Amino acid sequence: MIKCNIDKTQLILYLYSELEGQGKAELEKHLAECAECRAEVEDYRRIVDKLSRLPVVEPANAAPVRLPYPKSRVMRFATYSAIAASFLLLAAFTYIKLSTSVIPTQPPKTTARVTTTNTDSVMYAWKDDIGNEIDNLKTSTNSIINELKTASLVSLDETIQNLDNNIDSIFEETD
Amino acid sequence: MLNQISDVADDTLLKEYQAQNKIEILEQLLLRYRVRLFNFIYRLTRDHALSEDILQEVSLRVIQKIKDFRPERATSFRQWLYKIAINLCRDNAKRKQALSNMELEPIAPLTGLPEFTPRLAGVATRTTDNRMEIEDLVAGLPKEQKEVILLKVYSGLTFREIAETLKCPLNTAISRMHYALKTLREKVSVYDKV
Repeated sequence: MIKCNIDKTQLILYLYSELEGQGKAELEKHLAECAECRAEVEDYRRIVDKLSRLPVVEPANAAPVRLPYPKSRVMRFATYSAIAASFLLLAAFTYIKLSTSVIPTQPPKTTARVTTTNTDSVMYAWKDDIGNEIDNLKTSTNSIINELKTASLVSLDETIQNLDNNIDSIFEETD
Repeated sequence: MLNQISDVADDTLLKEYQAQNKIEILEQLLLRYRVRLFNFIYRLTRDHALSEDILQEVSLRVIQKIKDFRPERATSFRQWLYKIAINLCRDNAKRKQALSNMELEPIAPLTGLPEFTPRLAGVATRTTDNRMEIEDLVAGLPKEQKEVILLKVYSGLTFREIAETLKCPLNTAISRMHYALKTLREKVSVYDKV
């Protein structure tokens, strides 16, 4: 029996169909002549087949992989918009509340007396003050909304804190 | 049965992800490899819970590094994925080794306890099921051979790609496979004769 001197790694490449061209043709010729190499390839093929039929182990968590979602700019904008909408509602509510209060909207019309009383003048002064405060509140709210639209990189907590401070200062001034 | 692997489908999903930047597409891509990758990690570590942790870590690494991944560098997503997995498995094995090398104070033996009779006595590693036999035989292979053989089984990478993944010469990767198959051939034939 002739001793086989073939490079055995060639058998592995052949087994996995990674041997091409001249090398493949030469090996196939050798296999046709060498029973030892032929038996080796056949045994390896059986093992590879066994390996391909190893039982499939499933991960315990049957749910598909979930990756941590980064907070998108859209989500951030939606959050800020929701806060801005809340403040708009609050401002509108305050405006309605103040405008439907007991303060008369027009000076009392009287045929008997042309001049206004002291009480009337005080009330008109209050009305002007409150009107100014409402205008201030509207301006502040608008600036807050604009700030929210642009300040996408400001953290949520910081923004809420700023809003709280602004509201507090407005109400302090009103008081 | 494990699903088929297709680099073309991977590339399509990758391009979609790069165009739309939707994380759902990346999830879909990872989902294609989930079971294969898990089995690969599990056969390397032989620890179910640890394999799940490593699988999760692979997903996180992918999401962190996907922006740096360039398919035009002749590395497929599949190869990149398995490279991450094998590196994490190696890191874990090193940590385990370091822990086992630490000197621990000997614990005094417990006395007065009833004799322990294992319920699973008789359920040995050798069963009549050939698939279990081969699994145990693979587990007993040297680490380097086990890596090559498992990469071949679960990733379907070529030997050139496996060599790149393991950072070893091509001939070394093929030789490791040859030795692994030779060992399995000898042991399987012994089992078959019993």
